Amino acid sequence: MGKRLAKKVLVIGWDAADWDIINPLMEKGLMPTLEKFINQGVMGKISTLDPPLSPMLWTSIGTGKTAEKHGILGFSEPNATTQTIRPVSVTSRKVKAIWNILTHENYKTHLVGWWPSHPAEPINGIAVSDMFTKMDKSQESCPFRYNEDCIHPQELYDTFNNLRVHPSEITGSHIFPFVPNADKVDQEKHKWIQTISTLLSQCATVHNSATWILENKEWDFLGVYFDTIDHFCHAFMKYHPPKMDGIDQEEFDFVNDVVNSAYRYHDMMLERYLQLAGDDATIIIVSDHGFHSGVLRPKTLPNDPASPAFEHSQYGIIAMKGPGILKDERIYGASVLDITPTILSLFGLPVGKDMDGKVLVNAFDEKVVPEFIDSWEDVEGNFGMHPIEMRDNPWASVDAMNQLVELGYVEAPTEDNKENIKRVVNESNYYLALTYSFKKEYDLALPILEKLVAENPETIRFLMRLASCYQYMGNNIACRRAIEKLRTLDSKTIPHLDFLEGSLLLGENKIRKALEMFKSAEKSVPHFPNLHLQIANTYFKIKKFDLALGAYSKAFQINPDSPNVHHGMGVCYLRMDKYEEAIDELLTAVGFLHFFPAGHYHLGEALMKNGNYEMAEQAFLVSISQSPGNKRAHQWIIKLYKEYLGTPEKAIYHENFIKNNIKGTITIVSGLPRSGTSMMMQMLNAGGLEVLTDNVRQNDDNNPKGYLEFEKVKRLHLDNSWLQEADGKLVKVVAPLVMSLSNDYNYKIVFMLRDMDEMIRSQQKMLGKLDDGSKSSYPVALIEAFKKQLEKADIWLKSMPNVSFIYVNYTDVINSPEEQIENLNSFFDNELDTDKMLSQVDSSLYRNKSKELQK
Amino acid sequence: MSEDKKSEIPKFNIPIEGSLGLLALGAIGYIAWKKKREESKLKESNSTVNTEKDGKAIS
Repeated sequence: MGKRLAKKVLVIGWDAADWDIINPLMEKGLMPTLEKFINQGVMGKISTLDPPLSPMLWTSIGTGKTAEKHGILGFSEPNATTQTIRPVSVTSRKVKAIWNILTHENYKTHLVGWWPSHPAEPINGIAVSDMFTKMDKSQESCPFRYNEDCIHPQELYDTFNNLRVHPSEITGSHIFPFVPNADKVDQEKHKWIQTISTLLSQCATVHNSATWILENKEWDFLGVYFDTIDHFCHAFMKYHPPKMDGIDQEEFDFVNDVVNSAYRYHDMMLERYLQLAGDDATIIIVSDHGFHSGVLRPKTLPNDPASPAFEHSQYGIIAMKGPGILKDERIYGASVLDITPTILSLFGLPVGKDMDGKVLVNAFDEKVVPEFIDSWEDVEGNFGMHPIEMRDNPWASVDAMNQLVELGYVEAPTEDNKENIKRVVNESNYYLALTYSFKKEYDLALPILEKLVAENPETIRFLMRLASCYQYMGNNIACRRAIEKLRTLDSKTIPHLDFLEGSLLLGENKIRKALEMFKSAEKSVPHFPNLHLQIANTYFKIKKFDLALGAYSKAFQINPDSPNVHHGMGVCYLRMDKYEEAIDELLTAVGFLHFFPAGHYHLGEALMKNGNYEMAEQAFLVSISQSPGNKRAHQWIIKLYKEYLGTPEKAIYHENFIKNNIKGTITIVSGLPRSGTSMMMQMLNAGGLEVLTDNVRQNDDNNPKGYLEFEKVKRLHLDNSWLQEADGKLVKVVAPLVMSLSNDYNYKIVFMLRDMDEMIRSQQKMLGKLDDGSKSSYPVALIEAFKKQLEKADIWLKSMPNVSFIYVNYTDVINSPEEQIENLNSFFDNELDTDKMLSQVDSSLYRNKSKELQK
Repeated sequence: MSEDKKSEIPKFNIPIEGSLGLLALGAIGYIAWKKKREESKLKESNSTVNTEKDGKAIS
């Protein structure tokens, strides 16, 4: 066991709390307790997961694991026994939570209101489930009792029941601080007062329960969860200043301060927790996501069960204080997955290697080295969980129940129930696919989304996510098919589809077309997240750094916390030789996201160019530790050691690493004969790439500028030992042979395409078999064979992990050389001399135009 | 559960109509407010009984 850093830990969950609301309140002195709290500890933003749905996120916070592992997939789940649906329950959680682990370690462990935590688990302390605060319609009259399963141990049920606050107990004294003119509200027309009463009573029930435990019981750990801020925001954020278009002025005047009041009330409650917990406790305040305010508030919400998530923003809050925690400092790069690993370390317990989060080591004032265990799931003993017969996989149970229905053992559910269960199963599968997509496990997301779309072909969001999944997996054809289908289904999605198609085009290095799509999307959804980032990335690719910076600034206005935005701005400044500005932005980027190899790499480059050599060394070393295969980072650090730091001995390790571990890169121009491969070789050579050629094949009338070929390529399928000669160079390989390239290298392939008719005519002419115009002379079989070769090559190009490629159409190069060169330059990371490339395009050599073009 | 403890009770005002501050105190505030309301109810009902005895009108 490691060193115990905390005597006791109090975790206060504020669903949807966001610094964008808190900071202005603190500046006005309206959240004094939280302000004092963060002065005594650390604060930062915490990144959420996708989908940002609270039951899934709070389970991730409590387990350190993503949803495909913990098994909570949305708001509802099927109740296989009754063949109905029910709110998600803790019996469906597949893994141990922090309160289970602490129970096993014999700590006094309490939990109040966590979502989901019903039925209350038999932990080593008190558990008050999330259902305890909820009240169904049948219980609207006082007094009420709820299911004893809400409380563990059940003998405390009456104690807690006496702490429950009913909405009817909320008086004007509670309401007026939220709505100063509450007495003038037309309560027939507006349900504001009723909503506030319900939310306040539920909040007070949770607060009473948690404070009663702290007042009356010994404790090592208490987790208390409030959904109140989230619910206030969903109901009243549209009235929060500045006034949104379309909001009635009178309504705005009545309730524009409700959101602020909700936060202030939480500050008041926090004061009580600080009194009760004492200075020797470690206290963590955390939210699961933020909440859009200002211009990012959606004007409308889609009509689907996950629509509340559209109001949630990417970053929530984390604040932490206690013995051993830094004071008045910011922490960066926290994720909701980090809470459980951090609590384990606070108790000196090992972190599960199967957890997805990390220990927030940068919050401590001494070096903390976390200990690890393979998995807490393998540890036996009493973890305060429900007995195995109570725990089940509700999704599997539905399958089992369906089978029993089919076998005739169980009566079939009613049509309504059947429909409800199907809907809930679809939702959970959708959220599972989103979880896989978030983790970039697209191969696991794909079959789920394909099945959902097959069964629900008209459901926009399923198809939209499938299209994105295809895009990430590089299946552009399927992605475009999905986009086309979506365009016929709902015109409201068009801006998002333009964005998606623009991203596809950008991935294909079709810069101008991509920009057109993004600009089209911008007209309809100017505040669409990531749109300006993509526009900026596009300008960056074509070295228009001023325009890129302008677009990054727009992205910054929407999301000032995006590490990608700061990284983009930093690299722009770097390329503009503004090193101080670059360093500032890149430091911010890696501050927001520590695991960011490209960020550290560019920071190293900026520091080096600015003469900060020691700091540059550190940045490169971090980048290399995060991405050991980055050859350029090794090359920079070798240069640094040899030329600037006077420590050439340190360079040896990196030289050997490159030699032994990093594959070389060969650039290939490929295509069928007479598709413009020689012209492309000339262009790239002029652009600055070194060509591997033996000049055995000399120029002739068919190719007056020369072929730039290498004889050994012809035997590539028999002997590829010469490839080492091509390392770092450009070589021409005819299409059918491209599949014989070995896996020992990375390849950048420019694949030439040309109208098949033109290509065949050109080949025939070259061979002296001039087309006499008769049908019999047209080589149909040959064309079919070539088409098959192109199909095979296409499959190979897309399937090889060591291959990046770009298709270039010969006719496009002739007709719009600037645009094609721009695309090529983007593919080669802007390292080509585009003016010299342009000089190589000679339209007079375009001699075998298709009949279409000759007209 | 044997590990009960006694925590310090803060001093606070308890208006009969309650207040956000009282609610923010948590269990101790809520219990005290509830008690105050019950006492007030009792007082009210006692005063009603007394006025009935006095033969005055019931408001």
